[in-house]
Amino acid sequence: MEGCEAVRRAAELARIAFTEDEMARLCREASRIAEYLASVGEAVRGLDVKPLYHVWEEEGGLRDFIADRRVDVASFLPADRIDEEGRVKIPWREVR
Amino acid sequence: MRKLPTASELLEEFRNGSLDPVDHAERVLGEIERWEAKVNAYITIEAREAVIAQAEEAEERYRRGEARPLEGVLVAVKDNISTSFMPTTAASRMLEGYVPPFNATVVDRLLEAGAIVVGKANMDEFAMGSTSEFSAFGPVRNPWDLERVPGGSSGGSAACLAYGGCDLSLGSDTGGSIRLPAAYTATVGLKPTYGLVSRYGLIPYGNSLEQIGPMARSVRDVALLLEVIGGWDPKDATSLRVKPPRLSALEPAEPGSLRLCVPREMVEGAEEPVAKVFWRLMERLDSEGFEVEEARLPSASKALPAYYTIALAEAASNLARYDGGLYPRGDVEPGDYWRHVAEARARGFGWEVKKRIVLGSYVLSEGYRDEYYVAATKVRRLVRDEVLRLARRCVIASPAAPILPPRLGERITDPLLLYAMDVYTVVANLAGVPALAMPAGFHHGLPVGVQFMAGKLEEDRLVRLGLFVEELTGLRGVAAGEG
Repeated sequence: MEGCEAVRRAAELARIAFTEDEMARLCREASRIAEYLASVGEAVRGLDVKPLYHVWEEEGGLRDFIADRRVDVASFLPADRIDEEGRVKIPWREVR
Repeated sequence: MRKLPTASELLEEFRNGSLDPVDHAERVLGEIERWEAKVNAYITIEAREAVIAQAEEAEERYRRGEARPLEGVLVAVKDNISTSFMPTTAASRMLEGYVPPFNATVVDRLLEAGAIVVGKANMDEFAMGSTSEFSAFGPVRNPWDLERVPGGSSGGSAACLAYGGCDLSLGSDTGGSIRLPAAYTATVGLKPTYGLVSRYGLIPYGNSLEQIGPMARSVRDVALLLEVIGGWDPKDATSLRVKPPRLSALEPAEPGSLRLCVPREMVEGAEEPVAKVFWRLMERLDSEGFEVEEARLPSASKALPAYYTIALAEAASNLARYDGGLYPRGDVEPGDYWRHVAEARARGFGWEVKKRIVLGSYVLSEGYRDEYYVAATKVRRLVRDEVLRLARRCVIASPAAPILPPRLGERITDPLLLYAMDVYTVVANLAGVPALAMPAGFHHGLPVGVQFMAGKLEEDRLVRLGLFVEELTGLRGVAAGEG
């Protein structure tokens, strides 16, 4: 985490108000923790490993009865809300 | 030290008429009265009249021969598990006074089995902590030494068992939150296989890691409670399509029937008294005929940062629902929506929760996601695969915690020291496998716990081994206080 700016930005993203004193403490603690967490990146650098989001991934997919009811977002969103790759555009992403 | 009856023993006495559920309820309420001001294990305690009325109904059912599996047993429920008849706060000011409109599936199953919910147990706010000091309702103290913590985050669930303020309890375990408190209070706690117990009605912290699990004063009791709460629930999409496990009638493991592996990575770093008690138990098991061997689990050394990265990311996402509107706060002036949200969160959440949400937002944010979150999920795959491989040939044994129960305030000033308490327990959450924590012995009057891990849905192996260990140590039913 590069200094306090990244912490401030993350606090903004999280929509939590902090006083200046709290922010100073948060910067100290969060920077130390982020530095520690960064070691996971080093651990897998260069390794060909797929991410695991669900421990029982083979059973973790959508159940048939749920998949049957899946609705395509393009069927109800205006065309200008979908990008060229079929992903939903998030308007406020372009604000900042 | 004293011994208290286990839930299985109580049920036997209720059945044969040697003990009356009402007398028993009075005794437990008496313990709560004696201890609670010192320990603070409960956030909400059910009214005396309501508990006695339910005990009378249980007595009536025994008389009519209609008793259910947990008839008349007093259970404490961690306060992040929804109850429609008592407030559910997750130990947070954000949810102060909130009474859910529904019961968690596990609570419905408890009630259907005849259990009496005696109260809602204190905990770290939103289950974020390892000491039970981060509660908006004050810290929980360890009944074995009131200057020390009971472990967390299910500290209240463990502490009330340890002083006799309940017969069974429910905790939740995201990274060790059942097993750490069990180890620190000489009680027994089991984190089930991911998906074996419904999470419907559990206030979420880290969805992909957490499980509700049983806590008790004996291994047979956790087996009994898991039978009641386990099994498929259509209301939880992550619930496995399995029947409730049948565990409570199992016999102790036969010596020679199980092999134990002790991964070097999950024992080095333990402080001397903990390592001593742990190895003494391993030597005794070895001499009884269980083969104990050293093993390697290389990825375990990266399990802790991977676990925290994933847990923080999931926490940031889960706690985004608390905007001061859906669960309203009266002390924030209405106005601009985002200012209102920021103010409500600033006032409603405690420091540790706010810090974890900010860090979770950071590891998920653009430019950092791959470096942190995605990398952590890759480490998770390494950990899971290694654990499943090792668990195919042995039960994995380690101390439950690297240190003895710390004194209040000792660990919370340094976040990395605090997180390090979970170093041996997070492995089971990343791998999704079941893990049992139980008393291994004592060091100068302080409990030391051992942890056993098995493969997916192999809770039966843990229970059988646990029953044997309990016979060996003689620590079944131990409780704090004078006998």
